[in-house]
Amino acid sequence: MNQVTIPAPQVLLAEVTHRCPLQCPYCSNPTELIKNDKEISTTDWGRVFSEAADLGVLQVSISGGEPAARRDLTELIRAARDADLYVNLITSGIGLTRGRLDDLVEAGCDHIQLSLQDVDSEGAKLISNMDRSLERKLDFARWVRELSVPLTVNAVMHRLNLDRLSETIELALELGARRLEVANVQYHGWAALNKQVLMPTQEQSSRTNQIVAEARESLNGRLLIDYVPVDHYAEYPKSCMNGWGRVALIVAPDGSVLPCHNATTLEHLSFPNVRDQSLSTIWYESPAFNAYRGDSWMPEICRSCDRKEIDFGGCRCQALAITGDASAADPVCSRAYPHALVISTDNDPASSDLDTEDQIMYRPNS
Amino acid sequence: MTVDLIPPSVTPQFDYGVRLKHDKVRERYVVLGPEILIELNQTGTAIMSEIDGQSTITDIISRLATRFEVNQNDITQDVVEFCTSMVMRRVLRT
Repeated sequence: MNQVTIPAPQVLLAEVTHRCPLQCPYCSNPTELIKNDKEISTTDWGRVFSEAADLGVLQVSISGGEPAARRDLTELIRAARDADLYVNLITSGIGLTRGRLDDLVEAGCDHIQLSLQDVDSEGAKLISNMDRSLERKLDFARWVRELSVPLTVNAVMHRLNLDRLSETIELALELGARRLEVANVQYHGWAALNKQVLMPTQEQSSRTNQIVAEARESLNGRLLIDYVPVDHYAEYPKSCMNGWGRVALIVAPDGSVLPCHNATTLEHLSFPNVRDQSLSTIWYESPAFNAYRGDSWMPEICRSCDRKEIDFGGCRCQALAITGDASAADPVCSRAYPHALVISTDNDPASSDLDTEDQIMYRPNS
Repeated sequence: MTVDLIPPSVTPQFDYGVRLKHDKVRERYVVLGPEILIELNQTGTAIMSEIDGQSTITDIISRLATRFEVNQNDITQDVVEFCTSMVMRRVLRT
């Protein structure tokens, strides 16, 4: 096997809690949540941030769950800034008062990413299972703007709201966002349970591509639009996490360290914990992080493929979930699976006739 | 996509939430911002280090010309194009 050169990580995703006031059916967290009493302490996080910075990490995204569910969020942000990291806060905006937001910004929060369920109040309620969630988010976005903190709107899109994509782009502009993420639901974790309800039709998917392309052209320089297409309609795998153990690492609420945030579904791997080992040892030496680096683990069709430096073999969790083999080619790949379209045959939402409100399986609050 | 170049008379500054940082692990300068991580080469670093919110692009060109002992006309196009690209990516605002 060729010796793999391991680059230093650039990005840390700090999932500080799995608690969340919302119950979105597309929750990207694993089906098995980490409980409150297993969460690592403020001091532990401080050490994680400083070890991450020493390792080469430049940006941290403080995420969850809803990070505001942690009472020490201000201290966490301050600790990350003290370590000289660029601090992104990824929030639903629910549970943060104006006063608390002032504190977070004063502590050094550099950028806020606000999730948006829908531009329509009823639609937002249907997804979040919370009254007036949209209205509260709009207030929050206004405060962020008043504090001159850059705002990204993360609009999670699916069959029930994709027809309001143009209005979503309008709203992001109105809110003064500098970035909009048009993020189609990725059907992992809890979201997989709601695939039947949320998977967009092929027609919606094509129309989305068109609307995004037009908006990018007309709003160039005013609003940056990042676009995560529906994976299942893609021809090639996405570059999951920019490659396993290449750019980013995730620290879960209990201190376990993961190369991707659904990696716990790979039960044959054991994931190290920041309570037991340094981040450096975990990144460079742990079997879990080395499992899918380079190409020696790949099936021949991937190892000989010219796209292996583009998508690094795609998503391991999806390979396991669909083929039963975590080392198999990503099921999305049309080169590896020219005839059997493993995914798109198991669900044809266009032909299903579902009573959506009854079918939604909400994520229970932990 | 063709883009209009910004005029050299403008005064660029870092946009909100964007900053320059010395990446000590990789011994280089980077621009950090919302979902932004730009690795700068020597030229990029030289230009970005001159952004102070006070100087026009013309001022910056003149200082760089002196510092690197080159003719202003030889670097004007490069500096304007670089700053324009940074404005389009909302790293700089004018």
